[in-house]
Amino acid sequence: MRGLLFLFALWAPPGVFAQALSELDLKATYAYNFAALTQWPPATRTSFNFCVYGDNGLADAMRRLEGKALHGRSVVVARLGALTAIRDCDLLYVGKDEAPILGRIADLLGDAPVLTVSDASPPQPAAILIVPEGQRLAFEIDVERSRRAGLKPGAALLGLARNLRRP
Amino acid sequence: MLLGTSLLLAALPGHSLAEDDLTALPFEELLLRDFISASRLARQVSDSPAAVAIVTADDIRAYGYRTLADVINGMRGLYTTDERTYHYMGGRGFGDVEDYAGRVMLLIDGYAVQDNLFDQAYIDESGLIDLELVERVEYVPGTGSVTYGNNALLGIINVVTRRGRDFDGARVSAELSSRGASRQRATWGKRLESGAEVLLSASTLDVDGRNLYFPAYDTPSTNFGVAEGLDGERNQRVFGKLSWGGWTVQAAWVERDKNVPTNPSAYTAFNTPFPTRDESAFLAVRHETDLGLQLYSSSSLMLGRYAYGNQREYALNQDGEYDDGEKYGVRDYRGAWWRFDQKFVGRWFTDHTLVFGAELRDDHRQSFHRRFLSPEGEVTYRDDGELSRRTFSLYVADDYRLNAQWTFNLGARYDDADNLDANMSPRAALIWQPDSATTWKASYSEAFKMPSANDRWTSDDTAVPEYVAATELVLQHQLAPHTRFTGALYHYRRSDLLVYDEVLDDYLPEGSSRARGVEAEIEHTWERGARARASVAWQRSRDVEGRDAVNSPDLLGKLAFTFLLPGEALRAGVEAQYLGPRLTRERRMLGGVTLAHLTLSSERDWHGLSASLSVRNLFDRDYETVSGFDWRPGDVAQDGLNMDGRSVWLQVGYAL
Repeated sequence: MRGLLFLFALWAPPGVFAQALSELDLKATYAYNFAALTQWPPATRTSFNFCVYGDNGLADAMRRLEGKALHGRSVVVARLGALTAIRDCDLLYVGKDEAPILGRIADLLGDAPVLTVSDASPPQPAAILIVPEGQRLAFEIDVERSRRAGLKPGAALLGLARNLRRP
Repeated sequence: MLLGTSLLLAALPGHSLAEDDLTALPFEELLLRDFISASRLARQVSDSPAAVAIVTADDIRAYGYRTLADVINGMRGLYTTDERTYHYMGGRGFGDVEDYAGRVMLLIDGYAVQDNLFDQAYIDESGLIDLELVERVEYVPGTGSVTYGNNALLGIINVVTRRGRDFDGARVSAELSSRGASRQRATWGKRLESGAEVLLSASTLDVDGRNLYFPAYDTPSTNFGVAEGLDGERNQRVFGKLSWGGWTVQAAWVERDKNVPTNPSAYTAFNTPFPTRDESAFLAVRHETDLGLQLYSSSSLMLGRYAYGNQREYALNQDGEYDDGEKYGVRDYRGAWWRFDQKFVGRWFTDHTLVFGAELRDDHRQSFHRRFLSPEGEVTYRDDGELSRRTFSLYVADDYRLNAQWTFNLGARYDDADNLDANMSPRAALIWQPDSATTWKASYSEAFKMPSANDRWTSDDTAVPEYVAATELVLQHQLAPHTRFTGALYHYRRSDLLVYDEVLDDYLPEGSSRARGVEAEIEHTWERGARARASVAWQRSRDVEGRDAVNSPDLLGKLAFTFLLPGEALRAGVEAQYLGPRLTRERRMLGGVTLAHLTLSSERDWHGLSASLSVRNLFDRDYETVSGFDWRPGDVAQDGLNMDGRSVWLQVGYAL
């Protein structure tokens, strides 16, 4: 018994926690930064609602953001099983498996102030797309789509977007 | 000691504060960080208080699995026993063939599919699911009564089926084997423009009869032990699933006819046809919806049916006559039930995930009919039983995230059946994640099993519920980005088991048995889908009399390795499985055996064509499994059954 536990301990050599981050944690944090660097029209809600549709792993990773303050509101994370409540979201993350219904989501949302984010391969009807770039993650912004929703991406965000970056 | 080790792990250098709160980093810096893809290792379920084992569709293909029994045999700490009628599952002290598979839950997309007569989970060709339709199989070891109520003593097998889009069109396949088996399958799946998803599949299997030798019957009057032309089997399966919006409708049906080669009782005649039929079906509807942001609802209705039938031939007695003039015995058992479940997930409170709900289950049909026939086929005697049971259940569980490192999970389920005392199944678990690579889980739970309808019908006075209390400690540790370790320590105590009382000359439900053990597994992935998994499980289990338990090997070892062959067109999958020495019901020790299986499969479709070639029991090892036959036809025991040697399987598929 003791021997086994000792082995457990040995099997955790220092340095295994490399600087690389889990894809899901990284994407969740990107979503947080998109929200932090975008300006929303004034809202009456006290919560800032992050919704995830079609990626349960990401929803779990995003839960770590719960309770954080964003634009004077407290972050709440919801995993959606259906599209009925999407207008109550501030940020809606759609997993790449669900990319085919991004068009329908855009229709349902109309000009509601909801920032749509997805990791589906571009082009897709979402305000922000996260795209892999080698071992790193970059993102693209559809400025026109954001403005239609009444959202203003900040200069800091625009400066980092791959499609707007100056060569 | 434990705490000390844990602290040591936590104190290891290497993980900075930033890992705990990435939002504290400037975005520019995040954009420069490398990511580890959400590979199959990272995707594994880590929030269950047990060490979940997962077999994916890729594994099923790479290792040539054809039944759930094959999948289970590849899992840490588990094994199956083929009794030539059904395959039974064992592990963690559960193994006696008489236990049936009735102490494990089998779920298909969350629906419990055991029958309601024997409570048996069908994991062989008599089961509902065709592995071609499976996205993944999850095994959650440990008790599950807190979530699923009745029967979840040993563990839960959850089969998740594939989606229409995974096929995206029609696919046909054919399979042949050296054992004389042939299978055909046609599947069509699609995701429609409207967002609706459809999957339809049908398959048929036909296995030839053959001659099998049973040493216990090696006498001139019983054909020198050879059962001739028996052991043939046929099945048909149909599966359909339609989902749209928050709705999912699914249905499955299987019918299996097997000509069982073993002799079922001391009164029946060896080497006579013993046709046995199993038919299972279910239809289920589920609706999932978000009632606002903090409340999620899942409602499901399931209708289930099961039918079992067989015909046996009795042996002549010493006077050359049939007892009571009865030559044949015919069984016709039928079960039917419906179940409604309403589940809510509430997230009203910060750091709490509350799951609660209610279930109503009505086993409105549990009918048993036996007929005994004269040699001319006239009914000489009937024995009929009609039973039913209605169960109402309530459950609640809270997952409380104390802080970034600690999570506490507390739950209980209350089950009240109309013909039994109400029962409460609690579970408490503490989960500690000292860093992103390490998870410790400690849990205590209690589970129960109601007596099956068959137990109640055949021996009502001894048909009482059985209980188990389980304690488990689990460690999951990411040793490196592509290497993962899982370890588990457990202790099970089963109580209210039947034990023989010499004074009363009867069985009383006052026995208890114990099992404890340790399991360890390492998984590693390389590039291009090469991966290996190795595990070892040691268990010590005692029966109600304190002796070594029957069919419960002390040691189990598994090794699975798959990789692409040079040229990258073919994949090889190699498995080695060690089954340690185990006792038969006559307390004879069967020797340990290592079986190897090899599968070669095409990595990609070639003009729509795919193929897979498997060799099971590659080195043609002779071995025996423990049988449930504890009586002797003559001087020789039949407490073990000889298993098959090498067999070759070829499958060819075509995407239309």
